[in-house]
Amino acid sequence: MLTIDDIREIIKLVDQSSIQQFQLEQGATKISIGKNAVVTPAQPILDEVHGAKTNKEAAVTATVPGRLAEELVVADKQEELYKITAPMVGTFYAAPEPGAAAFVKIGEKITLNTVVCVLEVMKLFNEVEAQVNGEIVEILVKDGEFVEYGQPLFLVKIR
Amino acid sequence: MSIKVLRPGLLTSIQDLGRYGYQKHGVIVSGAMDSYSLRMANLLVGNKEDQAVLEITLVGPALLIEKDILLAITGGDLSPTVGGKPIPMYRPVFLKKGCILQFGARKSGCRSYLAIAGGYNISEVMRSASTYLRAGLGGFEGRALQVDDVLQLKDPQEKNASLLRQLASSSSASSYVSTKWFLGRSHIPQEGEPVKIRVMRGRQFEQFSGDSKDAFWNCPFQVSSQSDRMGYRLSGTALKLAEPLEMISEAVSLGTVQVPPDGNPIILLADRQTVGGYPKIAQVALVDVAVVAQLKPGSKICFQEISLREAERLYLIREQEIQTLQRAIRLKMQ
Amino acid sequence: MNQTPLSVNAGIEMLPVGESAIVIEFGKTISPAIHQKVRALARYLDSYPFPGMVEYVAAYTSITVFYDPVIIKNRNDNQEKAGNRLSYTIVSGLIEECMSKLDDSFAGQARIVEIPVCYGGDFGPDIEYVAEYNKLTVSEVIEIHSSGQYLVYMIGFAPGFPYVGGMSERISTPRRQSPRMSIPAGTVGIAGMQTGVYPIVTPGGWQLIGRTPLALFRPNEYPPSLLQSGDIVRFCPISYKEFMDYKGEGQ
Repeated sequence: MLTIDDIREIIKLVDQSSIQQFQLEQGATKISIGKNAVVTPAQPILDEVHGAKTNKEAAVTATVPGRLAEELVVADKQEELYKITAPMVGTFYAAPEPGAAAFVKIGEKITLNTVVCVLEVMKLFNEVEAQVNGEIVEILVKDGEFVEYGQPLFLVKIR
Repeated sequence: MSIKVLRPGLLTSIQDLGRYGYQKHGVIVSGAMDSYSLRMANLLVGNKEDQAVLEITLVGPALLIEKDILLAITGGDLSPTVGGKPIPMYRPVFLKKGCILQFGARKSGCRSYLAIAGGYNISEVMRSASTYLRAGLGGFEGRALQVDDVLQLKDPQEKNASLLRQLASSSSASSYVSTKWFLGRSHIPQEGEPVKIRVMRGRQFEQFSGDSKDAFWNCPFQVSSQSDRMGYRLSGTALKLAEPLEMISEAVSLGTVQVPPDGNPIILLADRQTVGGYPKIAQVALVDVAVVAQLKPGSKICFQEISLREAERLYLIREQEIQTLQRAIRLKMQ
Repeated sequence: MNQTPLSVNAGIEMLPVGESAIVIEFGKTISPAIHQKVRALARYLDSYPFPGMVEYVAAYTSITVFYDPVIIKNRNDNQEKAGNRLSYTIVSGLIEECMSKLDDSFAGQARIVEIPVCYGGDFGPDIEYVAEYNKLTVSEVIEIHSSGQYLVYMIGFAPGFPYVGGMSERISTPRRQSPRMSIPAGTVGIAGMQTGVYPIVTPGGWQLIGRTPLALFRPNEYPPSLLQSGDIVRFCPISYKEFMDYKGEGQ
């Protein structure tokens, strides 16, 4: 199965080459790249990429299964939007305790070990670390909301 | 294997959940003022809920830790630090032998609880390790800790030893290692607004004057400086009986709000005497006793009426929460 | 012996004291007859505590029973189909049941406990004042105090401290205007109509008339209190030498 790195590498190669159209299918993964073409984003993956821009007028569509799909976002060469997802089921809290300041705000710079929120399960509060370096772009859930395993919580502009 | 007291703090004593079964002999219950925090501290280090811990009041001690330990600190935030760096509360913390644990500024609440995996090696008196300070009984030599006291520790049991080893193996140069999970502390009163304390009407509530009854529900009271482990004396509107009452001494309970002749109510707490002869205007709901215990002199409170049914419901919910917590922590420790 | 059954109709009041205690009051005045009922229930609970009962405290006219709501509810919810009964309701039902099986005779024979007292001298610095106040001689004060039979109504205020009743009015003396900061354990005193013995060192405002070599509170023994609610106490005068001998044996 293709990994994210594989896909990124493929996109880079196609982009840097003079190839105008490219398609690849492997298992459940299908990649189509068309340069200077209007490609309708038929996949949910592109819908979720808010404000994704490309320098060149190349668009990529990809059909990828499950978890891979959530992690694959295409944007600027310099930056990528990354989703921090829930590592467990639980109730999302933006602050360590009621009345305290939130762990992170939109625009805040974060590093690998920054605690971005807590998920409460069975009365225990579990710290969720960012695991990336970047900047918080959006907070996708509300304080007190119940979240599922894998549910996206934050959008991060990665450095 | 032990802990040495370098500075004792304001009032640091060994307490467990209290001495039960001896009130009819005039022996008071004592025990932790905030029993909820005590239980959480014990659960965090894999101890039985009712193990003895150190109760720390306002100004905390400086303790030399003479062996690797797993500890937990709950209650109010009295700024615990090791090597100048804050250590987290409400989660298990591994400290290396040779550390000095200190406390600093009070940030919230009034009392902290320090539990150690395995517990302190304290002989029981009348089936409890709690310190009965006035009678010089129980705890560490029947008194609060003093400079140069040495507290012996028991060895941790297997289940909390494994968490200790886990954390120990991941520790490097840092003075402490902790977990990425913790417990909530929502019962610690926030600064600023008067704190709501839920109470049921007491036996002599109706015997108070109309004005006094109104004042009791509608006015804030302030915790006076004459507040201690026996009880919290409140100042505010002086409460008066509608007519003089001949009171016959009878037993009191944790959280009984009694009104002596001067009209200033007293909330009876851990070191209360077993019987009393003052009119009882109210009874603090058991779930809010821990909140009262975290108020400091100067704090303002407002009484809010609840029914016995509601108080019991809250109590049973709290007990269930503690069971859930215990299971959750056990799972984490595997 | 009084065979009146203890029943809820006989002027007995039961009330909650918060979520984990219940008070049963047998009357509104202090009297040996009412206290006998308190003792009957206390003895019954000594022999047949119900699951979930933590302890009780007997007082002048009432007894307060402390219980664990979690145990009470768990034990009883299984048996209860209708409704969601408060643990208080369950406990008051249990106590009514106890009382229906009791009569005053359950209080049993009172124990008579003799308390040796060395009166006056250094042990009783206020005995002359008590005598003067009541227009008696010191010997008369001693005679009156030691010929009484005193009912222990309850133990409270301090470990082992007995609240006793039955002191003669003839030696009643008001409390001191300024209490002493520290009174030795074993001191016998008078305050108003009350007399008693300080079991541990404590401040106090009583008029001090003597001292007993007996320890009223022994934390390492069971029961830790020498006296219990319902005992009859007699004070027996002893000499200073006898006091010191007693103490010597006790070491």
